[in-house]
Amino acid sequence: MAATIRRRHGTGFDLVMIAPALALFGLFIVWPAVQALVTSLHAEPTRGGGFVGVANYRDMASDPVFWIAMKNNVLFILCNLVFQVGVGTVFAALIDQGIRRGSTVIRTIIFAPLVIAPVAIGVIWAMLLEPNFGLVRQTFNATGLPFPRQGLLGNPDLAFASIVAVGAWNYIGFMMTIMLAAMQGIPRDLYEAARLDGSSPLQTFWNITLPGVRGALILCALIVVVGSFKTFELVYVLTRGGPGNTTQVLGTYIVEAAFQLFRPNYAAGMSVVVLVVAILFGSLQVWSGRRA
Amino acid sequence: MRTTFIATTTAALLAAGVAGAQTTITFQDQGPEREPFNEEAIRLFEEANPDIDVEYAWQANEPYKTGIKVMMESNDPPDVYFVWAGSFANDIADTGVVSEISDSETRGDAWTRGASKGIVDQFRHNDGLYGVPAEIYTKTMWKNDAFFDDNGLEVPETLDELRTLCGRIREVDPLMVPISFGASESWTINHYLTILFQRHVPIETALADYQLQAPADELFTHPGYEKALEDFVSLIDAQCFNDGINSVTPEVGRTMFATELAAMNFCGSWCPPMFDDQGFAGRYSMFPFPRIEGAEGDQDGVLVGAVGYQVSEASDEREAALKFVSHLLSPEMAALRARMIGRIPSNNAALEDGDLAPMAAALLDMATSAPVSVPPLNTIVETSVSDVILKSGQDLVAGTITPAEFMDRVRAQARDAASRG
Repeated sequence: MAATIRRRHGTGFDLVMIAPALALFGLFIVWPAVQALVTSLHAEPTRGGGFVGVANYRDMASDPVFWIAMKNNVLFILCNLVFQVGVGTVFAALIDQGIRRGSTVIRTIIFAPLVIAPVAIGVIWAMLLEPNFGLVRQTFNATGLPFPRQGLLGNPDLAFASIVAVGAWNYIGFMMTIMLAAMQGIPRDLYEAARLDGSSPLQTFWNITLPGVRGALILCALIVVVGSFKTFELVYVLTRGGPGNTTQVLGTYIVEAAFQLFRPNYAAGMSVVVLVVAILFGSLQVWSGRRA
Repeated sequence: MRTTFIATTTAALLAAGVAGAQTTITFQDQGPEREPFNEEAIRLFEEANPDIDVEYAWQANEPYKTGIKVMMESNDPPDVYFVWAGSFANDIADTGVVSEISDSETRGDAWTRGASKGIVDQFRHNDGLYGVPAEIYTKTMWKNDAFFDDNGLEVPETLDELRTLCGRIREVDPLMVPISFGASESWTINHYLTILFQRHVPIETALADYQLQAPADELFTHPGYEKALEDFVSLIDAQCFNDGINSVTPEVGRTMFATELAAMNFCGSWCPPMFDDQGFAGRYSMFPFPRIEGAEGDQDGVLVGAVGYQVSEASDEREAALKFVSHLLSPEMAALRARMIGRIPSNNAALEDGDLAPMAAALLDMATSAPVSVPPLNTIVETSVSDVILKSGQDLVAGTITPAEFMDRVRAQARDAASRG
């Protein structure tokens, strides 16, 4: 059908059809990216704004907060891979194979947080985790468990873990849904054959389910990697990168550098770094998608 | 005849158009607290200047701090906007987006009548005037009168007494927090440090450090800084504050005091109207931040800062914007500001008895009678150094750094900032 249309209308028709998308992509993605790159090569407006080459990138290399943010981003990716993709996959397998009754309700409950905006989720969890009156504190008190003196978000050892936990609560349902769709595409007779051969549930999961959802797993992993690298809202609402800089990620540090430290050009440089990494992972996603 | 008619009609329409041409200026303010006053001031201004419309918008405190910088970097910045005097206002001025308004001062616009030179000077930067003051603010300790009276508690005059008092309050009522404190926005820690530095470090030394005017290798080397930080930590160790300081918002901190969950609060001149709104009117009073025996700084000094308004350099209607600023900050509007929203205006020329609420009048008296006053650190210290102080404050509260490590960070950043000029 597409070939017929192309033959009938020629390449010019193709160009006309993709022109609106190209124009929008150029206007809202490419042009700002080029602007960010150009901005990052100039001094801050407060210092004259002249061309300084890669000076902002050199500053970045020696900026300890940048590296804290970068390390946190990498940690965030690893944690999210384990908790969002890993747990999401396990939940999907349980619903696909293990749970016979109420699976729709369970699916809905797990998926529900995804329909809430991340900022709203941050606000809700900030209230739940409030260290003097929040529900979590009340639960600790009621059960007699000791509550950390600085709360969960005010304690440098627990703040990052708390953000990861909230992020997992938010996105596990999404990962589970993708994995469940993939699992439901695996022919049932494979499971039946495995059962007749005496395979245990764990062996079945390992040898049939996981290989069968390889493509979906890669897709979920790449979504998590790119999403985690760009993460901003949850961290900003829950801790603003604090206490100190302990939960700083590149997203929050970019905003802080641009609008609190008033170093917009330095912030543009960090945005370019995030963009380059996102493009790398995005390319990996496209490449692996083609291979799968 | 027909041609004459068309020409006459066209001329009449054009004339009507010119006569009715409206100038619109945009006005961006911080916080909802000024809304009733701003709306009344705008109404009066538009009444007196029917050819000028003022489009007014506001943002809450924390979003405003970043929001205004975003707006000022956009192609459509507000004509008139709120700023904190000091490094916040100066940073924006340094980007070249702020109109220099000494011409308004020279021609004696309404805002200059009775204006305090000292406060206006807070908006001078690089030999220019980049703003007009509107209000001053100060900060002091507040106490729950009934709780103090019922339990026979005395107002602490020294920091030692304050620490002892914290323990006493915990004994009297284990559920009562001695001092409520929310530092999820770390400027609140900065305000404690501003006062503690003031108590421990002579003002000349501190100002030279804050403005990076001391020799680079002497910046922030006075031992009083570390002692001040040790005193701050000692208040935490004495269980003076609530749990989770770093993740409690300043609003929750204020509310804990106003709802009698805390016996004391260190809060600004903007707080009494908020306490009153929460039904706590008449049940609290102020007392000065305690002295520190043996410390080298000023023991009766206070924190005093100013806020005001700047005019955008990109404004197409600069004269209308200046006219509005002049009206908004005239002595008459200053009196209205005091009456309507309880803030302390920077210009007291037209204030009459009763314009200021008793609590605001007492705060003004405290601010003007203090031998030394210093603006909050985050408005006077160079921005990158201020950021280190802000962040390290939360680390200090969390116990992940010592006072010595705090000052090492500050000195390193100060040397770096000084070397960049």
